[in-house]
Formats: sequence, C-alpha cells, structure tokens
Amino acid sequence: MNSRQDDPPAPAGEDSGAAAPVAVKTDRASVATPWQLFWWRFLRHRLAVASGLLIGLLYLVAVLADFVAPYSSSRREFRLSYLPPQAVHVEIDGLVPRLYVHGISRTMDPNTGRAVYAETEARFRVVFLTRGESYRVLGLFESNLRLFGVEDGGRLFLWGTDSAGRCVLSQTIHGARISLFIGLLAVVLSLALGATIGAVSGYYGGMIDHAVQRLIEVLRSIPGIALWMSLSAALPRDWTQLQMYFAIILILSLLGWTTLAREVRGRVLSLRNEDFVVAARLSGCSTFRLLRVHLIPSLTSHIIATLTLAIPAIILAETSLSFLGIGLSRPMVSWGVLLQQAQSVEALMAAPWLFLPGVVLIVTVLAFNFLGDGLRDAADPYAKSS
Amino acid sequence: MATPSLRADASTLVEVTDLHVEFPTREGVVHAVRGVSFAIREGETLGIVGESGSGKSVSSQAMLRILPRPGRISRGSIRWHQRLPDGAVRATEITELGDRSSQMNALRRREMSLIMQEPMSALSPVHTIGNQIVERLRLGGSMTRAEARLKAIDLMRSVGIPNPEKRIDAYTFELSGGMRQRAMIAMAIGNAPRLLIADEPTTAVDVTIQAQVIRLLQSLQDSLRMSILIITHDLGVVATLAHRIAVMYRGEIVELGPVRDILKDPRHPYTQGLLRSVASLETSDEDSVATIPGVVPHPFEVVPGCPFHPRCSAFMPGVCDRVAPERTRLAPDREVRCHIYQSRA
Amino acid sequence: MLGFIVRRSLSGLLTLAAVSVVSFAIIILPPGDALTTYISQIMAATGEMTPEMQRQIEHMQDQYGFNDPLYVQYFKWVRGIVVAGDFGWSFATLRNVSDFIWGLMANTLILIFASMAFIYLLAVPIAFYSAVRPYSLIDYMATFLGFLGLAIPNFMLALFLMFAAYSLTGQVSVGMFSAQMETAAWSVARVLDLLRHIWIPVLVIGSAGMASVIRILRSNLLDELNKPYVQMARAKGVPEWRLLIKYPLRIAINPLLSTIGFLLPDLFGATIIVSIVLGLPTVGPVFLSALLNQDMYLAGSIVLLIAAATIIGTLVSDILLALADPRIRYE
Repeated sequence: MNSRQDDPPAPAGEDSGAAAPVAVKTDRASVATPWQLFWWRFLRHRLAVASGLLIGLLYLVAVLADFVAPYSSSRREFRLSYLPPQAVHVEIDGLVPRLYVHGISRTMDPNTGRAVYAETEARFRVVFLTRGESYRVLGLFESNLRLFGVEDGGRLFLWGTDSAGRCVLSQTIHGARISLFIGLLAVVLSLALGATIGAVSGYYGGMIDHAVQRLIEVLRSIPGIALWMSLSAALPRDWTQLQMYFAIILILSLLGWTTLAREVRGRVLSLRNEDFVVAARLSGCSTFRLLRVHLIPSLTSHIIATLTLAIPAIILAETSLSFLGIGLSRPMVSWGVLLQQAQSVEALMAAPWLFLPGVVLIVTVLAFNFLGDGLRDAADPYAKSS
Repeated sequence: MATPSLRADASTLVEVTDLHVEFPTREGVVHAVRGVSFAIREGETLGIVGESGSGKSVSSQAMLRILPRPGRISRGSIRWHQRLPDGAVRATEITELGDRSSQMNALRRREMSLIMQEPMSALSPVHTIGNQIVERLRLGGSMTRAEARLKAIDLMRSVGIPNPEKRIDAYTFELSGGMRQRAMIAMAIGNAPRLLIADEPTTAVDVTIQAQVIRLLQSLQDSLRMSILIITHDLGVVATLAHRIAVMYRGEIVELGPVRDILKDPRHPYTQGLLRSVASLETSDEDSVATIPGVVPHPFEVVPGCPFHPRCSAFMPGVCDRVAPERTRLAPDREVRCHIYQSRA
Repeated sequence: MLGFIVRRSLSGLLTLAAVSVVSFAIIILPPGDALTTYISQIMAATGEMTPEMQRQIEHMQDQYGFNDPLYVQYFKWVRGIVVAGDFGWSFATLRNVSDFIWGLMANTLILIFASMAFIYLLAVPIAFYSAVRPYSLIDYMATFLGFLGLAIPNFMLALFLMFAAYSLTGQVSVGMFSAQMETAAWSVARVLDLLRHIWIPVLVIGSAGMASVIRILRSNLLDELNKPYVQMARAKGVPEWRLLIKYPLRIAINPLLSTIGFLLPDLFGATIIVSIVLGLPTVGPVFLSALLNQDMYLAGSIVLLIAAATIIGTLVSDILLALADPRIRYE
C-alpha cells in the first residue's frame, strides 16, 4: 500500500484550528436565499432592529412634518422669545385624564432687561387631531389638520421658543425633513458615483485602477470639512434656496464617494478571482454582464451597510456647515440652521433647550450607526468587527 | 492535579478515555468529539484518520488544552504518564488542569509539542525563525540566549536545513515551504518531547516535500525515541508512518487497530469505503473512482443511532438508525464500533 | 529599504502636486477676480488711487499673473511658494499670507499632535483589553462611548465641555494660552499654561478619532488572537501575558501606524471646527473668515498646507510601517 502520490488533493483549511462551529446551516438555512440569510442575521441584532424602527419613525415624522408639528416652521411671536419649555399637566375630567397647559405671563426683569415668564391660572387643553395653521399637502391641496394643538387662546411650546419666539419642537420636526433627506439624497448620489467607479476600478485593474486610486488618495488627503467649506463658500450668493439645497447635496456627495469606491473596489478585487466569477468569464460572459449579474448582487448587502454608515456622516457634515454659516440658512430650516442659535456657552446657560435639536441629531446619528453596524455584521458574518 | 506516583502500565504514555469536546454557539452546541478513547504507547506512532470535521484535530487540541474559543472538554479524561528522573511514573489528569496553569505549561514545554498544517501561519510573520526556536528552547530548560542560539542552529541542521547559521535570522516568508515545515519541526523537537503531535504535517506541502517530511519524522522518531500522534486524512501517510491507526467519523473512533491489520482487513463499512476510494485511485482507472455516497452531516444535525448509517452500504433498518453501536473488541488490539459485529459478538 | 523610501516619497510628491492643483482651484473658484474687488474696495474707501497704490497693484498683477491664463497663474503661484515661500497676498488682512500663516500652522500642529497622543494613549489599552476580554462590560462601554463620540458633533461637544469647565471652575477658558503667555518664549511655564488650556479641544478632537482607532485595533487584535501562530505559541507553553505582548500586540502596531494616514484629515477637520467654536489661534477661524471674505489666496494656502501636512504624516507612517513589518519591506 503506497498510495500517497495518488491521493486526492486535500480541501484547503481542512479541519484546522478554527473548528467547525462557524457556519450557520440548519435545514431552513440550507435552502434560504442569500437575502433571507442576510435578513435573519440582521434580525438577531436587537439594537440594530430597534434603531431601524426608530429611523423609520423619524423619516415618517419628517414626511408628515406639517401634520405632526403643532406650528409651522416660520411662525414667530417676538413677545414670547426664549420661553422655556412649557410643562404639561394632567387633570382627571370625570374618568378621562386630560392634558392641559397654563397660560403665560411675561414681565421684564429690570436688572437684566430680559423677559421673565410665569404660568397664569388659566388652563388650556391640549387637543388631538385639531385644526391649526394651514399647509399644503404634497403641494396639491390645503389642509389644516394637525396631530395635536392647544385650545384657542393658549400656547403650546413643549420645547420652548428661540430668539424670535419660534417653536423649537415644530422647527426640529420641520428641520428633520431637510437634515434627514440631505443625508439620503447625498448618499444615493455618492453611491452612483462610488459604486460605479469602484467596481470599474476594481474589475479592470491596471492603469484605470491606478488613476482612480490616485484621485481618491488626493481627495482624501485634503480634510473633507475644508473642501466642503471651500466649495460651499464659493456658491453664488444670489442662488435660490432650492439651488443652494441641491448644490450642498452635490458638494457633500462629491466627496463622499471615495469611501464607497474604496469599499466596492476591495470587494470586487477579492471576488474577481472567486471560482464562480472565473467560471462565468471562461464560459464567455461579457464584462458588463459579469459585473451586473455576478458581482453587483454579491455586493449589494455590503453596499447597503456602507450606505447606512455614510448617511450620519453626511448629516453631521451638513450640520457643521450650516452651524458655521456657510451651509443652509433661513428660511430653510435644518438641524444645523437651528443650532446656529446655540453657538456659545452663554446660549447654553441662558436657553439650554435650544440644544434639543442637537439631542435629536445625536440620537439619529447613533441610530444610523447602530443600524449600519448590524447590517454590516449581517452582510459579512465572518468579517472581523465589533 | 497530579496524583501521587502510582504504578501504571509502564509502556503507556497517554491515555484518553471517553473524551467529549463541545463548542457552544449561538446556533446550538456542536459536539465535535463524542466519547473518544485511545492510548499512545512510548515510542509508538498512532495515526488518526478522518474527513474534515471528524474531530481529529480537536482531539489533539484538547490534549494540549489549546481548544479555540468557545470549545471546552465536557466529559472524559486525558491521563498523562510522566516519567520522573528516579524512574517512577506520575500520572497527571490533563482535563483537571487550568489551560493557562503552570502545570499545563510545564507539560507543553517539556513533554509534548505540536506541528501544524500551515507553517506560514503557525509561525509568527514578524519574528525570525531563530527567535521562535530559541523561545521554545529557553522555556524548556535553563539556557542562556547564546546557548539556545547554538542549539537552535544544531536543531535546524539536524532537520536538514542547509546553511542554518544564516537561515536562523530569516523570516518565515523568506523561506520555501519545505524549509518552513522543517523549521517548525526543529522548533517542535527542541526540548526532546516525549510526544510529537503532527496535525496534517504534509497537507500544505507538495508531493516531493511530503516524502521528505515523512522520512524526517521517521528518522527523528528512531533517534529520539519519542511517540508521534499523526493526524491526517491521507491513508498513505499513516500507512508508511503509523504503527496503529484510529479512524474517526463525526467525532467518534469507528475503528482502531494495528495499521497492517486494518489496511488488509478493514471491518467498519466506513473504513472499507475509505480504502476502496484510495484503491480505485491507485489503479488510475478514472471511470471507476469509488466514493462513499453522501456527505458528512452538518455538525448541528443530530443523527440518531450510528452516525454513519445514512451513508452506509451495510445499513440495517430499525437497528442502525435507532441504536448507537457500542465499541466491540475483535482482537486484543482491535476494536470497531458497528452493529454488524455487535450482533455477532 | 532605501528604495522603498524613495519610491514612497516620489509618490507623495506626486500627490502633493495634485493637491496644489485642487488648492489653486479653490483660489480661483469664486466668481470675479480678487484684485478687481480689492481695487474697488480701495476706491470706495479713499476715493482716489495714489500713484504708490497704482505701482503696488501693477506689481501684484505681474507677480501673481492676474492677467495671464490660468495655468500661468497657477505656475506663478507654485513658483512663488517653492522659490520664495510666497503663498500670495491676503486681500482681507492686507498682508502677505506667508507673514502669518506659519504661526497659525504651528499652533494647529501642536493641537493635532496633542490629540493624537491622547487618542493613542487611551485607545491602545482600551482596544487591548476589549480584544482579550471581548463582550465584557468594559468592552461594551468602550464601544458605546466610541459610538457616542462619533455621533456628537464636534462643535456641540466643545460647547458642552466648555460649559462643564465653566460650571466647575467658574471661568471660561478660551484660546491656547493665557494673555501673558500668548507671545512669551517657550518655557516650562508656557508648556504648562498650554496644557491648562488645550485639554478641552484635545478631548473634543480626540473623541472624533478615538472610536475608529479603537475599532480597528480591537478587530485586528481579535483577528490575531485567533491566528494559528498564537495557538502554536500556547502549545509551546509561553505564559499567557508574555504571549499577548510578544505576538498580537507586536502585530497590532502595524494597523496602529496605518491609522495615522486616515486619522490626520479627520483631525484637521475637527481642529478647524473646534478652533472656530473655542476661538483658538489655529488656521481654523482664519480659514472660515477667509472663505467668508473671499480672501482666496489665504484660504487656498491653508488647504494646501494642511493637505501637505497630511501627506507628510502618511508618508512618515508608511515608512515606520515598513520598518515595523518585514513583509512590507520585502515586497
């Protein structure tokens, strides 16, 4: 018996130290599509799932901002500037608990010259599905139905007011529209750029790859915030709000694509030599078809995870630009525009509620990061990640 | 815990009894090794043969207590018989030692050593070969750095590395595959261990080097009088090297005995299948490559009765899929785990 | 090794050349020509053009090539920098950019180095503990704090810390030095004064990069801890603590060095924002006001200088990496 030379080749990595229990394969799993597997793995990350639900809710609120917010974003009442958040009280009316707020009285502090507010005896009920200021639904028809409001004569500033007596809560809800969708739109644009360039660069390799990598290296060696600042400062001052909005989106996405392109390129590079790709190429599959049918689908879950992690970075960038006064400005309301009012320690001490949009921002960014992390784990269970 | 010196069978070096190793994971518990028993005698080579996932590597990792997370020994005993300078034998129960305890480290430094499949990944990429051999030598005995370095050069020469004075300062990636494997062997035999565990030592190298490695192991065993536990999927390797072989399937030893007997007269249907597939390759008649039908079931899957019954050619309905077979002794030195022999016994 | 350094330096030089083009693009990006704006400003202020001013303007036209095609302007700008260290004229401050840019850059770099030291001093032990004891309480806390550091905008964190410092000490410390130390020569007292002032910005800037460094280090270490050579070292009987230090930590230095490259742009970005909020004498506030006043030579020069610092930092980290990892040298 001397069979050594003729033995079948051993499968690589056979029975090595990594031991058996890595693969997840139950009967159900062995017939599942990659998408189902991705979904099941994702559902195991409770924090990520909860974050996903929260983000869904935030986007819903942003879309329905006119309905959810008690006031419009431009409504101002100078007599009630820097009003602290109002307390909501509960009274039992028969057996039904009812919410109410007190009226507001305003006096001037003769020493500081600032307004001092106190509650009056008057009670105003908080009412749901009430009529308030009117707005246009999808630009089509007028409506004045609002989720909640207060009886006539009363004021409802649950998160207080700013320097011009604008409702901070309503503005935060309206600001969500711009802040959340700027992230989404910029990321979709970066995706189009990054995924295309990255896939092409990784697939073709050679000179094209080299040139693209150089370009990315150049762009990445300039701090993003400096480029963003330069580009948005260069925008013509006489542009309309809408033009500014899309220009900012374009600027944010122009620089966001590099990360995506790198990610996609790396994946394509490692996939390019996989057996199924080689097999497809040998059987005469065209390059475009190869990219579209074989490579892009196996990248989709990674791309979704990377996108989710890119959105909060863009939201933060917009906030920083607007905070510095070179991004968006009123009458457009984004979270960054709102935080312009909270630029100093004095503001933090005098009217801490002006930071509430910032708290919402932090929660949103955290939720996006948790969600993206969970998606990434689900997309690549073998990757080393936290 | 070391029990006081006691008279054991002097020729037994290590005795593994009813060893169970499991990996608790989020998806469930994988029973990688389920009730394995074998012994290795002094100066003997035992070969463990099996497909990937059969638990052969995990068994050896359990002996060294280097199971990867989250693996743990759930049952069984591994009894190490240490020969003391005065000739007495002290038995140590390895399963009762902490895997980072000093007693365990003492056993690892002086008594047993390991050769892994991939020398490229089993040796540190950022330390020189010499650094790693010297580290082992100095752990095993009180040597100065300079003495250890000279000893390391000797060792490298003895395993057939040409020009060892120069190679000792090389990094792994600067050596060829064969040289790397030799360097790892030099490190393993550094403190003249009594047991060398060779985990797939020939899998990652090409055919000519395989032959050299096997010859090297053979000559080392002759000169050092150590025992070897060789783990492989390659029947050819055990045929040339081993005195006895244990065939593993799904975490169990299905057949155990002297190598000549088993190759000549395999009893378990799985062993028979394995030998048939090798024999048909030998005739190089490509149309008739014999294979064992089916695949190894997934580790999470619970197979009732005999684990091999779904693929077995001698499957007896109602028996094999219901009752797990017991170990049956066929000869003083041979045992098999199969209902065919159980019913006859 | 020498060949490697030369190769890497050349490619760094190439990147620097490309960055100078981008910086120049920033200079010419705003509509209108800076000199014309400048002249009209002078005319509006003084009502007349003195012959002396006329000469100065003609000199500038010649020196910076305002009437030449763009590529000539670009080469004149670059030649000025390379030959004479002349970064152009700051129309808003009526000074040469090179007259005041270096002091600002020095302050910026002090802040960057302090933040980096802070990040690595904290991130290495945290990541090491997290990797050796994964899923422990400290591991989870480190991860959560890392996420929080990522999620809080730098300017808000700066404000909160200033507020906290004010609540504790009753005074708001802004700037990098006390008034009497602002222009003093370097001394122990001045360094101590600096440390008293920069802990807030360092904390804020550090928090921006800490999370990613911990994450990369931790996953790299986790990866290394499962490698066969670590198992092999255990099988050799190497004591656990020595094993952890000798093998994985040694190899974790590599990813640590390679984080420098992408950390630097982030840190510069954070420094700009934080300096604006805290009023630190770095390039940050000057950059913002230069952009708002369309003082484009100043703005473009700042972009060029911080990009150059990033490129040099990456180059140094690459060379250190090659020294630390024989495999890279070998390639």
